[in-house]
Amino acid sequence: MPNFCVPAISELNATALQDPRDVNAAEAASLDEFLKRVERRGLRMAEFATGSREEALDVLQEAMFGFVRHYAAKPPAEWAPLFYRVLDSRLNDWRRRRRVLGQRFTAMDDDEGGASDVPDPGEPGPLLRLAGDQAGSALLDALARLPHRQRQTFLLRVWEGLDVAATAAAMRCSEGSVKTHLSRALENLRRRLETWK
Amino acid sequence: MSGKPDNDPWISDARALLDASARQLDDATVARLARARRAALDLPRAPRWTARWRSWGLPLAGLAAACAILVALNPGHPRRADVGSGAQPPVASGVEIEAGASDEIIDLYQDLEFYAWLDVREDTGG
Repeated sequence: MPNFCVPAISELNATALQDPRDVNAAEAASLDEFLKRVERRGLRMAEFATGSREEALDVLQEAMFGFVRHYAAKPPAEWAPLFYRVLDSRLNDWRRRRRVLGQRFTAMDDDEGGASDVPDPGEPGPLLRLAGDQAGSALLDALARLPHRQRQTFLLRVWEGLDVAATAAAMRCSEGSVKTHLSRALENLRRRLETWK
Repeated sequence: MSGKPDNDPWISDARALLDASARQLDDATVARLARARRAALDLPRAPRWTARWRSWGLPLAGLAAACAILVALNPGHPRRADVGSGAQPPVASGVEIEAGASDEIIDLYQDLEFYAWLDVREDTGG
Protein backbone atom coordinates (compact mmCIF):
# COMPACT_ATOMS: atom_id res chain seq x y z
CA MET A 1 0.00 0.00 0.00
CA PRO A 2 1.66 3.25 -1.05
CA ASN A 3 2.05 5.81 1.65
CA PHE A 4 0.48 8.95 0.27
CA CYS A 5 1.51 12.18 1.87
CA VAL A 6 -1.74 13.88 2.81
CA PRO A 7 -1.49 17.36 4.23
CA ALA A 8 -3.06 17.84 7.61
CA ILE A 9 -6.27 19.85 7.83
CA SER A 10 -4.48 22.48 9.87
CA GLU A 11 -1.92 22.92 7.07
CA LEU A 12 -4.68 23.34 4.52
CA ASN A 13 -6.33 25.90 6.73
CA ALA A 14 -3.04 27.72 7.02
CA THR A 15 -2.39 27.95 3.31
CA ALA A 16 -4.76 27.11 0.49
CA LEU A 17 -8.02 27.56 2.33
CA GLN A 18 -7.02 30.76 4.04
CA ASP A 19 -9.37 33.63 3.38
CA PRO A 20 -7.53 36.45 1.54
CA ARG A 21 -9.18 38.91 3.90
CA ASP A 22 -7.54 37.09 6.82
CA VAL A 23 -4.17 37.31 5.05
CA ASN A 24 -4.64 41.04 4.53
CA ALA A 25 -5.73 41.50 8.12
CA ALA A 26 -2.70 39.54 9.36
CA GLU A 27 -0.39 41.58 7.15
CA ALA A 28 -1.94 44.83 8.36
CA ALA A 29 -1.57 43.73 11.97
CA SER A 30 2.04 42.78 11.42
CA LEU A 31 2.72 46.11 9.70
CA ASP A 32 0.97 47.97 12.51
CA GLU A 33 3.16 46.18 15.08
CA PHE A 34 6.29 47.04 13.14
CA LEU A 35 5.38 50.72 12.81
CA LYS A 36 4.55 50.88 16.52
CA ARG A 37 7.99 49.45 17.27
CA VAL A 38 9.94 51.92 15.13
CA GLU A 39 7.86 55.10 15.27
CA ARG A 40 9.23 56.45 18.55
CA ARG A 41 12.83 55.79 17.64
CA GLY A 42 12.19 57.26 14.22
CA LEU A 43 10.69 60.34 15.87
CA ARG A 44 13.75 60.78 18.09
CA MET A 45 16.09 60.40 15.12
CA ALA A 46 14.11 62.99 13.19
CA GLU A 47 14.12 65.29 16.22
CA PHE A 48 17.88 65.09 16.49
CA ALA A 49 18.16 66.00 12.80
CA THR A 50 15.56 68.78 12.69
CA GLY A 51 15.72 70.16 16.22
CA SER A 52 11.93 70.46 16.19
CA ARG A 53 9.15 68.12 17.34
CA GLU A 54 6.70 69.36 14.72
CA GLU A 55 9.15 69.06 11.85
CA ALA A 56 10.14 65.62 13.11
CA LEU A 57 6.52 64.45 13.17
CA ASP A 58 6.00 65.66 9.60
CA VAL A 59 9.15 63.94 8.36
CA LEU A 60 8.27 60.73 10.20
CA GLN A 61 4.76 60.68 8.73
CA GLU A 62 6.17 61.11 5.22
CA ALA A 63 8.58 58.27 5.91
CA MET A 64 5.75 56.00 7.12
CA PHE A 65 3.74 56.77 3.98
CA GLY A 66 6.70 56.11 1.69
CA PHE A 67 7.59 52.89 3.47
CA VAL A 68 4.04 51.46 3.45
CA ARG A 69 3.36 52.47 -0.15
CA HIS A 70 6.54 50.98 -1.57
CA TYR A 71 7.95 48.38 0.79
CA ALA A 72 5.09 46.88 2.80
CA ALA A 73 5.01 43.83 0.52
CA LYS A 74 8.66 43.04 1.26
CA PRO A 75 9.44 40.28 3.78
CA PRO A 76 9.13 41.60 7.35
CA ALA A 77 12.78 40.74 8.01
CA GLU A 78 13.74 43.48 5.53
CA TRP A 79 11.41 46.12 6.93
CA ALA A 80 13.69 47.79 9.49
CA PRO A 81 16.54 48.79 7.14
CA LEU A 82 14.01 49.79 4.47
CA PHE A 83 12.05 51.97 6.90
CA TYR A 84 15.20 53.72 8.10
CA ARG A 85 16.33 54.08 4.50
CA VAL A 86 13.13 55.94 3.65
CA LEU A 87 13.42 58.01 6.84
CA ASP A 88 17.02 58.89 5.99
CA SER A 89 15.95 59.91 2.51
CA ARG A 90 13.19 62.15 3.90
CA LEU A 91 15.63 63.70 6.37
CA ASN A 92 18.01 64.46 3.51
CA ASP A 93 15.10 66.05 1.62
CA TRP A 94 14.29 68.10 4.70
CA ARG A 95 17.91 69.24 5.03
CA ARG A 96 18.02 70.17 1.34
CA ARG A 97 14.77 72.16 1.59
CA ARG A 98 16.00 73.81 4.77
CA ARG A 99 19.24 74.83 3.08
CA VAL A 100 17.32 76.44 0.19
CA LEU A 101 14.90 78.12 2.61
CA GLY A 102 17.82 79.27 4.72
CA GLN A 103 19.38 80.90 1.68
CA ARG A 104 16.07 82.59 0.83
CA PHE A 105 15.60 83.76 4.40
CA THR A 106 19.15 85.08 4.46
CA ALA A 107 18.43 87.04 1.31
CA MET A 108 15.18 88.36 2.85
CA ASP A 109 17.02 89.25 6.04
CA ASP A 110 19.48 91.26 3.99
CA ASP A 111 16.63 93.07 2.28
CA GLU A 112 14.21 93.53 5.14
CA GLY A 113 16.25 93.08 8.26
CA GLY A 114 13.73 90.49 9.61
CA ALA A 115 14.57 87.39 11.63
CA SER A 116 14.37 83.88 10.19
CA ASP A 117 12.33 81.24 12.02
CA VAL A 118 14.35 78.38 10.56
CA PRO A 119 15.40 76.07 13.43
CA ASP A 120 19.12 75.80 13.89
CA PRO A 121 20.07 72.15 13.20
CA GLY A 122 22.90 72.58 15.73
CA GLU A 123 20.41 73.46 18.46
CA PRO A 124 20.14 70.49 20.85
CA GLY A 125 16.34 70.45 20.59
CA PRO A 126 13.57 69.12 22.84
CA LEU A 127 15.36 65.93 23.86
CA LEU A 128 17.48 67.90 26.29
CA ARG A 129 14.42 68.92 28.26
CA LEU A 130 13.73 65.27 29.07
CA ALA A 131 17.15 64.55 30.56
CA GLY A 132 17.07 64.55 34.31
CA ASP A 133 20.76 64.78 35.15
CA GLN A 134 23.85 66.45 33.82
CA ALA A 135 25.32 63.30 32.33
CA GLY A 136 22.17 62.63 30.41
CA SER A 137 22.08 66.21 29.19
CA ALA A 138 25.70 66.03 28.16
CA LEU A 139 25.12 62.83 26.23
CA LEU A 140 22.06 64.10 24.40
CA ASP A 141 23.76 67.40 23.69
CA ALA A 142 26.80 65.61 22.31
CA LEU A 143 24.57 63.42 20.14
CA ALA A 144 22.63 66.40 18.81
CA ARG A 145 25.86 68.14 17.83
CA LEU A 146 27.29 65.21 15.88
CA PRO A 147 27.35 65.46 12.08
CA HIS A 148 24.19 63.93 10.62
CA ARG A 149 25.81 60.82 9.08
CA GLN A 150 27.80 60.02 12.21
CA ARG A 151 24.72 60.44 14.41
CA GLN A 152 22.54 58.28 12.15
CA THR A 153 25.18 55.55 12.12
CA PHE A 154 25.46 55.65 15.90
CA LEU A 155 21.68 55.54 16.38
CA LEU A 156 21.10 52.74 13.86
CA ARG A 157 24.00 50.58 15.04
CA VAL A 158 23.98 51.21 18.79
CA TRP A 159 20.35 52.05 19.51
CA GLU A 160 18.33 50.25 16.85
CA GLY A 161 20.84 47.38 16.80
CA LEU A 162 21.10 47.01 13.02
CA ASP A 163 24.17 45.15 11.83
CA VAL A 164 26.76 46.78 9.57
CA ALA A 165 25.17 45.51 6.34
CA ALA A 166 21.66 46.63 7.32
CA THR A 167 22.97 50.02 8.45
CA ALA A 168 24.79 50.41 5.12
CA ALA A 169 21.57 49.54 3.27
CA ALA A 170 19.59 52.02 5.37
CA MET A 171 22.09 54.80 4.77
CA ARG A 172 22.87 53.92 1.15
CA CYS A 173 26.60 53.75 1.73
CA SER A 174 29.27 51.07 1.89
CA GLU A 175 29.90 48.92 4.95
CA GLY A 176 33.33 50.54 5.20
CA SER A 177 31.69 53.96 5.44
CA VAL A 178 29.44 52.69 8.24
CA LYS A 179 32.49 51.55 10.20
CA THR A 180 34.25 54.86 9.60
CA HIS A 181 31.19 56.95 10.60
CA LEU A 182 30.67 54.87 13.73
CA SER A 183 34.31 55.07 14.74
CA ARG A 184 34.27 58.86 14.34
CA ALA A 185 30.95 59.17 16.14
CA LEU A 186 32.24 57.19 19.13
CA GLU A 187 35.45 59.22 19.18
CA ASN A 188 33.56 62.53 19.01
CA LEU A 189 31.08 61.51 21.69
CA ARG A 190 33.81 60.23 24.00
CA ARG A 191 35.80 63.46 23.58
CA ARG A 192 32.78 65.67 24.22
CA LEU A 193 31.78 63.69 27.30
CA GLU A 194 35.29 63.85 28.73
CA THR A 195 35.35 67.59 28.14
CA TRP A 196 32.08 67.78 30.08
CA LYS A 197 33.71 66.10 33.10
CA MET B 1 37.72 48.84 13.84
CA SER B 2 35.34 45.98 13.35
CA GLY B 3 32.25 48.16 13.15
CA LYS B 4 30.94 46.62 16.36
CA PRO B 5 30.15 49.28 18.96
CA ASP B 6 32.55 49.47 21.87
CA ASN B 7 31.55 48.10 25.22
CA ASP B 8 32.18 51.38 27.03
CA PRO B 9 29.79 51.81 29.96
CA TRP B 10 28.53 55.07 28.52
CA ILE B 11 27.27 53.26 25.43
CA SER B 12 24.83 51.18 27.46
CA ASP B 13 23.95 54.37 29.38
CA ALA B 14 23.30 56.08 26.08
CA ARG B 15 21.07 53.23 24.98
CA ALA B 16 19.09 53.35 28.24
CA LEU B 17 18.75 57.10 28.05
CA LEU B 18 17.56 57.00 24.46
CA ASP B 19 15.06 54.25 25.33
CA ALA B 20 13.75 56.36 28.19
CA SER B 21 13.45 59.42 25.99
CA ALA B 22 11.49 57.40 23.44
CA ARG B 23 9.08 56.22 26.16
CA GLN B 24 8.53 59.69 27.62
CA LEU B 25 6.31 61.22 24.99
CA ASP B 26 3.39 63.49 25.80
CA ASP B 27 -0.16 62.40 24.99
CA ALA B 28 -0.52 64.78 22.05
CA THR B 29 2.58 63.33 20.37
CA VAL B 30 1.47 59.76 21.02
CA ALA B 31 -1.95 60.55 19.51
CA ARG B 32 -0.34 62.17 16.47
CA LEU B 33 1.90 59.13 15.98
CA ALA B 34 -1.14 56.85 16.12
CA ARG B 35 -2.98 58.98 13.55
CA ALA B 36 0.03 58.94 11.23
CA ARG B 37 0.33 55.16 11.59
CA ARG B 38 -3.36 54.58 10.84
CA ALA B 39 -3.21 56.90 7.83
CA ALA B 40 -0.16 55.02 6.54
CA LEU B 41 -1.88 51.66 6.99
CA ASP B 42 -4.89 52.89 5.01
CA LEU B 43 -2.74 53.68 1.98
CA PRO B 44 -2.90 51.36 -1.05
CA ARG B 45 0.04 48.96 -0.94
CA ALA B 46 2.00 47.46 -3.80
CA PRO B 47 0.93 43.81 -4.38
CA ARG B 48 3.37 41.04 -3.55
CA TRP B 49 4.12 40.16 -7.19
CA THR B 50 5.29 43.74 -7.69
CA ALA B 51 7.64 43.36 -4.75
CA ARG B 52 8.94 40.08 -6.17
CA TRP B 53 9.47 41.70 -9.57
CA ARG B 54 11.27 44.57 -7.89
CA SER B 55 13.39 42.18 -5.84
CA TRP B 56 14.41 39.86 -8.63
CA GLY B 57 13.21 41.15 -11.99
CA LEU B 58 14.79 44.58 -11.93
CA PRO B 59 18.23 43.45 -10.71
CA LEU B 60 18.22 40.57 -13.21
CA ALA B 61 17.17 42.87 -16.04
CA GLY B 62 19.85 45.30 -14.94
CA LEU B 63 22.47 42.58 -14.80
CA ALA B 64 21.49 41.40 -18.28
CA ALA B 65 21.74 44.98 -19.59
CA ALA B 66 25.11 45.43 -17.89
CA CYS B 67 26.39 42.20 -19.48
CA ALA B 68 25.13 43.31 -22.88
CA ILE B 69 26.93 46.66 -22.50
CA LEU B 70 30.15 44.94 -21.40
CA VAL B 71 30.04 42.56 -24.36
CA ALA B 72 29.30 45.41 -26.78
CA LEU B 73 32.16 47.52 -25.45
CA ASN B 74 34.72 44.72 -25.08
CA PRO B 75 37.56 45.86 -27.40
CA GLY B 76 39.41 42.56 -27.32
CA HIS B 77 36.50 40.58 -28.76
CA PRO B 78 36.72 40.40 -32.60
CA ARG B 79 33.51 41.01 -34.50
CA ARG B 80 32.18 38.22 -36.68
CA ALA B 81 32.66 40.30 -39.85
CA ASP B 82 36.35 40.78 -39.04
CA VAL B 83 37.15 37.11 -38.58
CA GLY B 84 38.95 35.70 -41.60
CA SER B 85 38.62 38.90 -43.58
CA GLY B 86 42.19 39.93 -42.97
CA ALA B 87 41.11 43.02 -41.09
CA GLN B 88 43.31 44.07 -38.20
CA PRO B 89 41.84 43.47 -34.75
CA PRO B 90 40.90 46.69 -32.99
CA VAL B 91 43.89 47.96 -31.02
CA ALA B 92 42.44 50.77 -28.97
CA SER B 93 38.81 51.71 -28.95
CA GLY B 94 39.16 54.58 -26.52
CA VAL B 95 36.83 52.82 -24.06
CA GLU B 96 38.43 51.17 -21.08
CA ILE B 97 36.57 49.28 -18.39
CA GLU B 98 38.29 49.08 -15.07
CA ALA B 99 38.40 45.87 -13.10
CA GLY B 100 35.93 47.11 -10.44
CA ALA B 101 33.45 48.66 -12.85
CA SER B 102 31.13 45.67 -13.14
CA ASP B 103 30.45 45.65 -9.39
CA GLU B 104 29.52 49.31 -9.53
CA ILE B 105 27.17 48.69 -12.41
CA ILE B 106 25.55 45.83 -10.54
CA ASP B 107 25.19 48.02 -7.43
CA LEU B 108 23.66 50.75 -9.55
CA TYR B 109 21.07 48.42 -10.98
CA GLN B 110 20.32 47.00 -7.56
CA ASP B 111 19.44 50.53 -6.53
CA LEU B 112 17.10 51.01 -9.49
CA GLU B 113 14.07 50.36 -7.35
CA PHE B 114 14.99 53.16 -5.02
CA TYR B 115 15.77 55.61 -7.82
CA ALA B 116 12.51 54.70 -9.57
CA TRP B 117 10.64 55.43 -6.34
CA LEU B 118 12.43 58.78 -6.00
CA ASP B 119 11.52 59.68 -9.60
CA VAL B 120 7.87 58.85 -9.06
CA ARG B 121 7.80 60.80 -5.83
CA GLU B 122 9.44 63.84 -7.44
CA ASP B 123 7.10 63.65 -10.43
CA THR B 124 4.08 63.60 -8.19
CA GLY B 125 5.54 66.29 -5.98
CA GLY B 126 5.06 64.02 -2.94
